[in-house]
Amino acid sequence: MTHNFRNFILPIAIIVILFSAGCRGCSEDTSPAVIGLFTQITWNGENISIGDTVIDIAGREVRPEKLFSYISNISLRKIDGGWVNSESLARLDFMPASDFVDSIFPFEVLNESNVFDSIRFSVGVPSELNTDGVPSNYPNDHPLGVVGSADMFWPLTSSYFTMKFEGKVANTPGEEIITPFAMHPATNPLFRTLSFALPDNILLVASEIRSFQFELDLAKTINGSGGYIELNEIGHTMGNVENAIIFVDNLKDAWTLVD
Amino acid sequence: MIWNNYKYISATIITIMILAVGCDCGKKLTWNTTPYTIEIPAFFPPMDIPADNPMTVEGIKLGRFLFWEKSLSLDKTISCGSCHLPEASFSDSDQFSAGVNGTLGNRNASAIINMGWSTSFFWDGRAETLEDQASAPVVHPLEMNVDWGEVVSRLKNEDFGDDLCYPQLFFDAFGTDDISENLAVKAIAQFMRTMISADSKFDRWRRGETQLTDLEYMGYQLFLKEGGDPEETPGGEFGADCFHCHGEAGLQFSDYLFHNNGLDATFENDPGRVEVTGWVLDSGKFKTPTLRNVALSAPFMHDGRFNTLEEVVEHYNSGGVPSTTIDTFMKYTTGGLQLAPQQKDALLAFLHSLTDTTFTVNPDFQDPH
Repeated sequence: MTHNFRNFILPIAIIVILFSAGCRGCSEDTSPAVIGLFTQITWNGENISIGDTVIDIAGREVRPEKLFSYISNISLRKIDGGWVNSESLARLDFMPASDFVDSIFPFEVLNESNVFDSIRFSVGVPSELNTDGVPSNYPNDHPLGVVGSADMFWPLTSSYFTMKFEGKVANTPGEEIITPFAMHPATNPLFRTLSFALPDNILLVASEIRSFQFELDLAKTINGSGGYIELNEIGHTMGNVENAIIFVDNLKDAWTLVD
Repeated sequence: MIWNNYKYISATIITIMILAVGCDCGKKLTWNTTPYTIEIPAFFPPMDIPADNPMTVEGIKLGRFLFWEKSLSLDKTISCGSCHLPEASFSDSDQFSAGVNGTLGNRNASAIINMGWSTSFFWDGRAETLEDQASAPVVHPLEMNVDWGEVVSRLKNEDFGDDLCYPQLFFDAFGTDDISENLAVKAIAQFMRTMISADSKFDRWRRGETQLTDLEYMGYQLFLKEGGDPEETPGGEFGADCFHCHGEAGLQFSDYLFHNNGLDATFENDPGRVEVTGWVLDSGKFKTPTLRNVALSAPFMHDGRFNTLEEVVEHYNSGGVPSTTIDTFMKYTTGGLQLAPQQKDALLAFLHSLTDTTFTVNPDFQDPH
């Protein structure tokens, strides 16, 4: 009887091992997809870098000096209408002398093939993470950590800025570029979600890395369907004030899907 | 006769063994380190420790000896601690530190305090790790001005007295007595990571252990508020506008970034961060220093131009000097912060609440020689 039992165990063990190996193979095939977000900054459609001098609608010289943004909840819409949310968060730093940022968003929830027709993301930190923010509770390199959020945490409201766009503008065309502006939209009411229809439906399979190319036209952030912002009267705009509302409402014009 | 020969030979062997042991200071045959865990103070973020330089009691001990070791300078007259004085929060109370032969640099020695949380080092941020930072002053011609090879040779071969044997300390810390620059700077970095200040009055208030005075609290609120008259500066809240750069997140009072705070119209004397990045709009920018123990670490600014905190507050109150790269938060086009005298007093009171003398007198950080 014992002998028979041993004879029985061996083939079972082999089957279990083979099955386990088979499962590992399956999980490799279903590792999550990764979404890349390539964002080029422009000014009236022309590629620019932070630090370049551009001309505003009034003919004045403008120099963008700093541009940071939180991007969250990158999502893809299945052709049946349901959204698949990556629930990811990243901070985009448009570095000096560079004209783009390239961000990667692991799509942990996307572990099977699907056809998608739209992409969307939010600009800012989702409200559930933007209340009583405590950067020291996060690892330093986390986008909401002390180091990761440097310059993007507002202690007075214990929350994170949505975007920061700073620079200087000449008071009249041809004059010295001297008047500072600091556009600092913050707090939950200024959180915006932007949606973009894909030019063609895409089949995204698990394990795939798919990049989308966007343009962020800074000229349209101050002059769009949400309204016009007089740059040399901005001073320091933070919180939920009129200029900041115009700015975030203009983002739907400023951010476009290129490819 | 044979017995006498044995005695002679034995005595000779023992003498040789004693001499041999003496040559390497009686090196231990086994290497066991004691892991050291940094206690993260309340409200502080985690400290990132490099994987290739774990903290050990032995490494910290070696680092402390090296920090205070004058043989790390050409003429053996100065150590790290010569320009980073404990009573000045491990900064230099002289505007410019004197290197070997009295040569003066052109920047004020930064305070060494909670450096384990910093993301770059030196006023221009040219070092990205504490280890890199620890290496540079030794060879800098205006500072210690000695080749690391010479330093290593001294630590290996010179007599530092009965109780100090560097080969032994290196062996205890790293399992080898093959002294190198790499191991020396690792040890110094370990020691510097232990130099933590978290017991100022402000810290105790945050922990609910004491109360700020009304004036200190008023200063804290000014610190957190936007600067300027809203009639002149949209968004202004009549605050002192300190928090943008001296960020309170993580209680380090620095964003670890680089700013031009309106000291000069041009930057010939010291271009600052641009010398590291090459980006022209980094001209005149310097790293935001921590405000911890700021009342002890005069003089102020990268070039130590201000001797008192009152002068510093007055500078920011003025709005600063316009230039191509001046920070957008300096109120240089709208008449400055326009703080009232009582507001200035409040701000100063708050800054003094960041003083932590338990840090400066901590015996673990003093000269062990």
